[in-house]
Amino acid sequence: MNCPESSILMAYMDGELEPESAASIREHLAGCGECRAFLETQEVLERSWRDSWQDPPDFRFSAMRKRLETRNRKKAAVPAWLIGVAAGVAAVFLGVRVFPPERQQGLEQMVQREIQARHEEDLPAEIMETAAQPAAELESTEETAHQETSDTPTPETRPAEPSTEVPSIAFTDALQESPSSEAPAFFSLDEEAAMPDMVTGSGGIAGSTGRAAEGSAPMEITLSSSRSFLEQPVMEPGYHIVCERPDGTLVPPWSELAAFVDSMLLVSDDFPSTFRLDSLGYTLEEDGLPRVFLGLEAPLTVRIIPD
Amino acid sequence: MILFLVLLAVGAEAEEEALVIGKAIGGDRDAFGRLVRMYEKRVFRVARRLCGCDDDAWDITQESFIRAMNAMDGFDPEFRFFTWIYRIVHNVAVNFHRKSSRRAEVEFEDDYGYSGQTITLDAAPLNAAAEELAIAVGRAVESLSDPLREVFVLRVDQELSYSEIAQTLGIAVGTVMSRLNRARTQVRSLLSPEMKGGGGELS
Repeated sequence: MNCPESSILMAYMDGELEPESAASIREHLAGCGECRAFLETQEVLERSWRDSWQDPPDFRFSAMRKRLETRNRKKAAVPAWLIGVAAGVAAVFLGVRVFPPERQQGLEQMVQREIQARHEEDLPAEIMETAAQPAAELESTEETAHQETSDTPTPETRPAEPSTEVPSIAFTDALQESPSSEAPAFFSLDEEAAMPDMVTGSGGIAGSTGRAAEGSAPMEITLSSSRSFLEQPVMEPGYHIVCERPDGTLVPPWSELAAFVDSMLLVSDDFPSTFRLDSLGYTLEEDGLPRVFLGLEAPLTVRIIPD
Repeated sequence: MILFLVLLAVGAEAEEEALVIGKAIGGDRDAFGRLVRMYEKRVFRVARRLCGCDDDAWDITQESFIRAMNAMDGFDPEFRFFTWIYRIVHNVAVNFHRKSSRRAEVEFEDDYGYSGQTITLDAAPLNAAAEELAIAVGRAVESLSDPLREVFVLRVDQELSYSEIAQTLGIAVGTVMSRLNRARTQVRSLLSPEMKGGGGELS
């Protein structure tokens, strides 16, 4: 007797066959004890596993909801809708304006890849398959980072959360449409206009750091998130950034760095409260975040300090 | 009559959910809170089934809801909420998995499949306590590779249809079928020796 393939039998069991095919399988099963036993065994196995599930006690869920609310309040310091948008913002700033030209392939490309990825149907499977990739690949050296191709996946910059938004583009448009941001506005065009070297991408961060250090007294800048061009209310981020040179002197943080920190805090819970910027870029403590290559002349230690 | 009432109840529930989702999309935090209550058990369950560890499952559940909340305005009400949030769970779980890297991949051959021949369990295992069987199946499921385990969990545990799984994972229905078949075949082949040998290592 020609027994159907197991996938067909399973599809029959799952109620996934067309009526005619199902009828023919039913007929076959009536006369084939082996296939009947096969399906019966399968059903017993699966039912026992499925039915063995026991929900955890309710208090565990209410505890989780409490944590969610706490996190929510904390995160509300920065508008929640900015998640993703902020990542795009940082990518645009860091990728387009900050990276030395030869290093621009970092975040900018990752963002492009993400946009592309959102149009790829097979995204989850793809991510699953790349998940086994050794962490070492992300901990690449500067040299390999230069050679990094668009195949290298970066988990945090490629979230597959379904979304129709293309954050970086939306942000760029908004920026261009709002030439008259208020003074404290974090990503204001005024600030941009004062930093032509940043716009070309040739100066790199060292230039802006030096310039900022010359012209300003405050050694700590409290971040302001009054992104008026995004038509959102002013919100306090709830932290500020301190940048320190190896000799202990402080350097005022600059907007791109702040935008980067802001976005990383939004998209990652594991973002370190202290990290180092140097010629290789900011150093990751562990896998899971994109490496960012900034090209500073002198290393800086960056601390994120809650207000 | 009873059927009618059930349908009415289901309809009302769906309507209420649509209402809550609509508010949550608009940024209503309370509405999102209700959505969390509606889906937390299911999300935890699927996370737990995927990662095989209680602590990770709680973290994944919490993180998934946080991400969902932040991405809520991008949710298309045409889709089922579970399908949408499952993709988030999937991504969060992948990152957890990547970090811990503690699950060994189990090799399987692509063309490995049931040929209509004998893959049957001994009668004895079926007489064993259901709990024992469930544990053994659970261990076998945990040893599956990620893509296979995921399809298995969505079908067998969450009872999604093939097309729902395909939509959720963004893969073809045919791929769902073949992965599911491989997963089931592998679970049985892993289960059999353990049952026979009285508890051999699966992984």
